[in-house]
Amino acid sequence: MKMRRTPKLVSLGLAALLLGSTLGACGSDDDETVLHVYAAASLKTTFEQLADEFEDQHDDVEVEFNFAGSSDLVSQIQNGAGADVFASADEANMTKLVDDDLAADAPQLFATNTLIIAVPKGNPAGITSLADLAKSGVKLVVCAPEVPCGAAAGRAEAAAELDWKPVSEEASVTDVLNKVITGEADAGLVYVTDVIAAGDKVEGIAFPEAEATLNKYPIATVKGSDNEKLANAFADLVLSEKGRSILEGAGFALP
Amino acid sequence: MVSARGSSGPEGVAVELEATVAERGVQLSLQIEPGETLAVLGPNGAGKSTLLGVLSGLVRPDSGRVQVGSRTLVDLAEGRSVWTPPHARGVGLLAQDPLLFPHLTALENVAFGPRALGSKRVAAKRQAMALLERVGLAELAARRPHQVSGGQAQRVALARALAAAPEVLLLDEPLSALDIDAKPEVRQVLLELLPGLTTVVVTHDVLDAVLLADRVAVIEDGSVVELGRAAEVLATPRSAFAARIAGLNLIDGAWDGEAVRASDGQRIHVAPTPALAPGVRCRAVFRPTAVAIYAAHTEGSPRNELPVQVSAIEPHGDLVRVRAGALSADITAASALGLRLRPGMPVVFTVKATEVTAYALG
Amino acid sequence: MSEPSSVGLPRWVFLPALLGAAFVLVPLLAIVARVDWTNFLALVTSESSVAALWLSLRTATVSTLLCVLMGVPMATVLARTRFPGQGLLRSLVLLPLVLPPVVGGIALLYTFGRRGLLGHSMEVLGIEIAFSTTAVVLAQTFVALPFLVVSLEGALRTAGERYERVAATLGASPGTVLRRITLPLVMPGLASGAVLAFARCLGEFGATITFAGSLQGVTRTLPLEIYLQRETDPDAAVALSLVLVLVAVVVLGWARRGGRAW
Repeated sequence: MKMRRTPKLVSLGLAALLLGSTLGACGSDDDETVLHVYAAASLKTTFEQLADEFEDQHDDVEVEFNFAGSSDLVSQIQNGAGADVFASADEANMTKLVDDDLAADAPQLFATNTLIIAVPKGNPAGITSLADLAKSGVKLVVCAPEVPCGAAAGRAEAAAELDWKPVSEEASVTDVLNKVITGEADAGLVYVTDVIAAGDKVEGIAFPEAEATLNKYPIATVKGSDNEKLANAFADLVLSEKGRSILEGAGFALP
Repeated sequence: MVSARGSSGPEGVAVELEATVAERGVQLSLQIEPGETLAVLGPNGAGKSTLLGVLSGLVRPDSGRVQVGSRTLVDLAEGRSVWTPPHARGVGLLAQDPLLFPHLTALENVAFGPRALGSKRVAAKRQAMALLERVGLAELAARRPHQVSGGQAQRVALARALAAAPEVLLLDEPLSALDIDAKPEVRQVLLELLPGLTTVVVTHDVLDAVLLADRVAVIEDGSVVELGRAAEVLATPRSAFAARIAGLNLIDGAWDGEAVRASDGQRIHVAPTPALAPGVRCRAVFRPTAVAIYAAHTEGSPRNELPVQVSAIEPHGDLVRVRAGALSADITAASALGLRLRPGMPVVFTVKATEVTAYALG
Repeated sequence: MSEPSSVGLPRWVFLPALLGAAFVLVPLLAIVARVDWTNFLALVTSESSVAALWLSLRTATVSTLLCVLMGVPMATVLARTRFPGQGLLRSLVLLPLVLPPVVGGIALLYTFGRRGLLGHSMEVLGIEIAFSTTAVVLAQTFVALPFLVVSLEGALRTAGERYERVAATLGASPGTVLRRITLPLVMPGLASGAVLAFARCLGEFGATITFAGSLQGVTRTLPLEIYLQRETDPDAAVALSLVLVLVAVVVLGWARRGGRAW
């Protein structure tokens, strides 16, 4: 009898183990409400400040972030991820959400960002303008045209009537910035906010064609959210005076 | 004797060895005559393998000296550090496991040594083929090791060791891993090829010691306790180990073309028939355990029958040793009781021809 | 020789075993299910896809070659010698096995980058590694080398030194022993190690994107292309993923056969 029992016990144990691990992954304090905010990676610093503010205003609420590329976030939401709020780094990805009828209300613009030339500390290649980026021997790194910052870089290239030959077209703006910080690249095109966030590790060189690179950040609450009220409150905070000042401090322009 | 003297390598050289390996509690001192075969007997762990290791260069002694012919291979006396790596020694090794290189054919295995020593491919293969013929396996030249039997593999391994033209050949229990049917074929090949080459053969089998060796060394507890002609050591053992293994039956005579004919006219048949020239002085050897005892002559028996008179009966381990002059038989106590053996009683010792080995007396 | 029959397994073992197999296989099938077959050929034969596949095959081949050139001596030294600190050295050398590739990329950046430990002197010598195909090869070699070393060292230890000792007593110098005995005997292990390394090179992403950058035809290998295509053309990403899966299956299948050479 004993012998026959063992397999059942073992499989029960296995099942418990599997269940335990899945439950554990989602586990949190029962009496706290968790607000899931999916935000573009470039919003990390500002949104974390806003979350502190938000948690101070609302007792027993915890904001959990998912920072990633906007297109990743959209596809996660499309595949059923439980997001309450979505803040995109461009309008195209927000449009995907709206088109799939996943936005609870009309998205609202809360910030804009433009590109700037980032060069390593001391500007070893002596870059002063966009035109310098097309010079031979200058190692330029930009985002790939497939991602928003790359599309913006392409618009700057066209506006300045240049034809540059980047040594690398990265998949994310972080990768571009890192190539500049480490000095691998002589210059890179990144967002103004990235240069400010990088502190004194890089220098930023503004250029007049930046207008063409304007990138708009919309925010929306996600349809079917369990915490619709809180989600709206968070979006309101982003759009509030407090939110605007935090965003402005990080280098974002305001619509 | 049909001998391969000197044809596979240079004339035998003398070996002198002195070695201390503290870790294994071994302190050995040994001289080997040019061209002789020295059998090394001893219990497990006595230092036999260490001896081979020191000679082949696979074991580095704490101190000692190894001299082969005019060359000093090792000199680790105070303040000196002469050390010759295994490949530069000219010392060959045949272990109980043939260890044929599995990715090479038999021929390529044998040609390995000559190639390593600088022979051209064609010359090495020719030499290898000649040696395969000498061990009787020319037709297996293209076989891979897994396609030959255990006995054949060991013969190929012997050919391979000889092809490297060693000045000294070490045999580490060359027959012990073979099954009972394969032992005679390899033993026969060793008998034909070893004479003339300075050889050390480590064995557990006293029969092989007697058959193959000119002299026998017994090693116990890390040092040589007996050294002498094989027959002498076994006839008058002084060490406990030699005493335990001694008692082999030896009958000297002449080969008459079919059997060994002793001086008293007794004929001893041997199977398989050895390659001996008629008239040559030779010795038939068999173990006491191979002897059965009958009260009387049996008509038409295929066995060798030796009429003897019992001279002594004594316990020998689990068995009873029955002595009849120079001959011994080990039988069970039950058989001894059944025959009602007593000293002075005439009996017949019988032994199958396949249990008897004969070799020429040099 | 016939295999002795197994003593059997308790039946409950099959449940978790099946679960495990499904856990690996279902996602692969999901890729197949998600492929846009009508456009499959067009997607995988686009200029950027072909450039990425071709670059991946080229760099993985060169990297595997480098792995063999450095890994064989490394494995031999680790398996056949003993020296103080060897265990520690082995662990360190095999570290890329467990490191996130991104960390490897960062390490390479600070070694061969323009401002890295060796990069500056190399730039003086006119060797530029940053953003070049060479950087891709370095990244792949870095992450794949331990695979080859581990499997070859295992093969060397399994093969043992008995044949090598015999060869030495036959007059073969250490060089001859290595060339004619050691390496031929572990050839199946070396082959499967090399194939594993090749597969790892093909899949390498993190170290490459961190260290080498991403430019079509130069540094954008198939995994980087898939990562990028995901942004705008998920169908292309799925199609290319399937291509990579197929290449990996072929390579590993070949390695299994190679492992049973004799």
